Amino acid sequence: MQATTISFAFSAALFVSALPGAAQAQDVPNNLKGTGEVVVTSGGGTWEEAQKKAFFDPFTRDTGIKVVLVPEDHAKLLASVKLGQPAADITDIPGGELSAWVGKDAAEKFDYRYFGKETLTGMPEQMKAEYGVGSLLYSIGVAYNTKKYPEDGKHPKDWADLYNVKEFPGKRALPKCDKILDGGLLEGALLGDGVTPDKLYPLDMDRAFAKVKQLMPDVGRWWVAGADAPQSLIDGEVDLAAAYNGRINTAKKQGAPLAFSWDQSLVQFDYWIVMKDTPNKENAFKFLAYISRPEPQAAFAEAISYGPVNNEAYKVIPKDVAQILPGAPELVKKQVFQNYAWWSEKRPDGQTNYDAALQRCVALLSQ
Amino acid sequence: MTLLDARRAAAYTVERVAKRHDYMNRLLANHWIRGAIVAGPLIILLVGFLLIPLSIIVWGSIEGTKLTFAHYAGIVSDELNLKILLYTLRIGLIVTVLSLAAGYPVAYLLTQIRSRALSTVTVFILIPLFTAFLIRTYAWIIILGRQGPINNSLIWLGLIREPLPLLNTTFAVVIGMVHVFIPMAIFTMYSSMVRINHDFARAAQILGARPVQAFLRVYFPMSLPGVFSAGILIFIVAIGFYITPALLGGPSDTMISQLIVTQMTTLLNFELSYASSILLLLVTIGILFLASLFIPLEMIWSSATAELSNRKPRAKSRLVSGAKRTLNPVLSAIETLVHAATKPLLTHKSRWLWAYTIGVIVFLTAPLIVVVLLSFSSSQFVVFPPPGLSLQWWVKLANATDWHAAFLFSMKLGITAAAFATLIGTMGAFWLVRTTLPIKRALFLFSLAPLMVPVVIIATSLYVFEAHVHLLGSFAGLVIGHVLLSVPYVIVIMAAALRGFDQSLEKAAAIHGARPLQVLRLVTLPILKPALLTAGLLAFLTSFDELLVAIFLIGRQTPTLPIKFWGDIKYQIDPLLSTASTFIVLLVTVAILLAQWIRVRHEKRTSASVSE
Repeated sequence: MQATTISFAFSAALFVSALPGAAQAQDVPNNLKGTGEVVVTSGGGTWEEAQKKAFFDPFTRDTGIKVVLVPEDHAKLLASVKLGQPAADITDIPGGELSAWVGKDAAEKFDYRYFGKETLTGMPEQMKAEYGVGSLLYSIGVAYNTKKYPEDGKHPKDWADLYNVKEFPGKRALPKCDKILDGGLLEGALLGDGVTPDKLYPLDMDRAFAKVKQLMPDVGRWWVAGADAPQSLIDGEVDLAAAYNGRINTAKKQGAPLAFSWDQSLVQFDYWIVMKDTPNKENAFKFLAYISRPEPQAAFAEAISYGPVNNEAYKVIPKDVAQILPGAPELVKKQVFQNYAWWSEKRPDGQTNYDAALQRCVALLSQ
Repeated sequence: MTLLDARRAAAYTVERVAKRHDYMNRLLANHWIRGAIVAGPLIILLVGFLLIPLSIIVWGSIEGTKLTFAHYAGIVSDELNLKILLYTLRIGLIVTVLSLAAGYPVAYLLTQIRSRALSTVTVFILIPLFTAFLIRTYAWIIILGRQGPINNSLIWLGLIREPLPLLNTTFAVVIGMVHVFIPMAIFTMYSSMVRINHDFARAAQILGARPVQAFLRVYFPMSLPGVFSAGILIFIVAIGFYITPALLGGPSDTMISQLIVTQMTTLLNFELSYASSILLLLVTIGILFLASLFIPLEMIWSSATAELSNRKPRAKSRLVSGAKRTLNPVLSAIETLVHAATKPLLTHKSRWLWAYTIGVIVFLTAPLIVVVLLSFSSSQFVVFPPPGLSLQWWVKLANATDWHAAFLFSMKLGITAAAFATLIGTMGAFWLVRTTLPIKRALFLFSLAPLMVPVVIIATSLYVFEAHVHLLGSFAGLVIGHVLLSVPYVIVIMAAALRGFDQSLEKAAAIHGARPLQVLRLVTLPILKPALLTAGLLAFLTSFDELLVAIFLIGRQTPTLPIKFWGDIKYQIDPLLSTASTFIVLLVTVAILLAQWIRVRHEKRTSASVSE
């Protein structure tokens, strides 16, 4: 009896170790394994596909913890945290919004004990905040349809061109207020109005909103999701757009006639945050510890061309891919870094600059 | 065990069951207890999950014991909020008038045609009626797009050079909403117009009236109550709309539902959102009150139950006769003009009506056809017309596990909600129809309350309430929300069926020795079967199509189909959505044809048994 059990166990072990997935599972620290689930908001489209491939599927395979995706709705998520019943465990927010979420008591303090030593050393300090861990680097810049503006001909290349209706006629796509920060609405408007990158901050809100208002008749689409901009460029709804580099790049790979210009593109990063008092807190930290390791970071960068938050990932990423990631040495010279400190600064009335800008934006667009 | 033992055991069980039944029957003999059992679930549902959540909202809007009206003042004094409220009312009015005007001739035609033609036309109107709002809105996004069929054909015809900006405009919102409401207008008006005897108008013509006069002076006034009730129904649903303005409108096309949701979520100002909700509710109640001066309110939701009260609203007759007197000269002038203009049309009346009706049907079904064609597109992106044919999106749908999960979850939710709604609603309808309480009318109206309260208010109030009682995010919590929304439909259908029900059949059975439960099982329910099926199907479709309540109550589960759809429309409009839509349109079509078939078969059977 015993002999059969042993031989069965032995052959089972052989069989399991022969599976490629299980072989990787051995590399994963034991403290990341577990049971149950972790609920993550999902941003849809090519973004979600890349996350699935690089993060969700391998995580479940290696740790046994299920990843449940719920549609990303930050507004409703905040309300649910206020009601004491968070609609998700983890969400991804623009770096500049972190202090606003912390201020609304919506984020949980981070427990970095789950993170491996090598993982932590590979990540810059900024990516290891008290209430959030870096999620990715990305750029928002000017994108255009190459059928209207050939890439080798005269084409728009920076914010000034996006705001120049005379030279570059056609409808524009701009971010809606929900994306005022990570869509770079105000920075884009000021750069488009001739402000130089070194004089950008503190943002002159009056000037920025005036510039946006001036362009409003030529805006064909106010987008709320990252996928909207490429989609409206493809279906001809607009000819120029403020768009994310990764979304444009992926659509381009699929054969869409699109191009992205790196000039004056705004470099930004997101944070993953864990919702306050959420039931799957432990699994949430395990998940974030898992995906912050170099390999998943590299896999994600390759899938959608967004920069990794772990520098060790560059050792794995192919050279040609590394060249077109936001924050790559060749590109940095052309790029502008978004100033999150300014966005979370409090104004005399106690509001953060972010909240104030959001309110003004809603009022302007509802006119 | 011997056979004898088994028999004895069986006999014993039968006896015990019989005893239990006896006990039940004795209980049921007392009409107070019977009333409590039958009405209980409905009352608990309406009080527990509508009235209490609403009172929490009212309480919150004045910050409870603080009794402050600052939030109301804030809305009324804020120019932007006021503008949104007025915009909402304006859109509601435009959409209502357009839907009624577009639907009236079709409803008129439906009252005049034979039953086979009637069923054919009805199916074409029913399919868009029951196809999810989201799918129809998605279709309009494609049609009105800069490269959509409208712009493309206008450019091809050489009428315009640059594509017109049709999408993200108020125009798009109006078109999208009218498309949603025309079928509703047609059916509501038809159900009251079908009672009008065409002989009156014919008699008028024989007595020398011109066709226009006969129509305007005889038929049209008689059809007005139906038009009016359809108008009220559409208006109160329209001012609570959320999906269409959010997807088809531009940034300035904000309706009050969106404002309420933004206040509660993005701005986290719960009190302000409560106050806006109550304001919207007050507007709705005000409109209903005004309407009640002219028509019995229950007529709005079901003309079949309008006979419940024979009360004649006096305000109406006074107003109508007053209006007639002052308008008489004007009316005559208009009649002469219209007569001159329409004479050639009216002599071939039905041919023109048919042409018009087919036009409306094309308008109603064209978006669905666009969606179906797109599902076979060979392109990676949404471009219409598709550059080539391919099954790639169907293959993708077959492999899309997230869509499967959402579909299965919606089915599970819909079936559960429909089962509970049918049970609770049928019991409630029994009670409402057969009770002898003097406040019968008020109770009937109260049971329809979930239809009067704008959905956004139901969604947000249940959200806050379920969070308090820790139901939020659970399957049960979601089911309750959907049962609440679909129970009034069940009540309307079942009440109508019960009123047309010959109670002497039950009495006959009882006289012959059947106990109450036996009567119910062997006589009442079999006769009501088609009504039960219709009610259940409608309840299922209500849940299957519902978005706003689900968005708030779902929590951390698999998204329902509408939520999945909503998320994908917002993130990425790709042809996969068309494929999923086509699949749902197919399902709805099959369900409608099936329901029609069951109804026809039942009618045939009952009429056959009568003639025997």
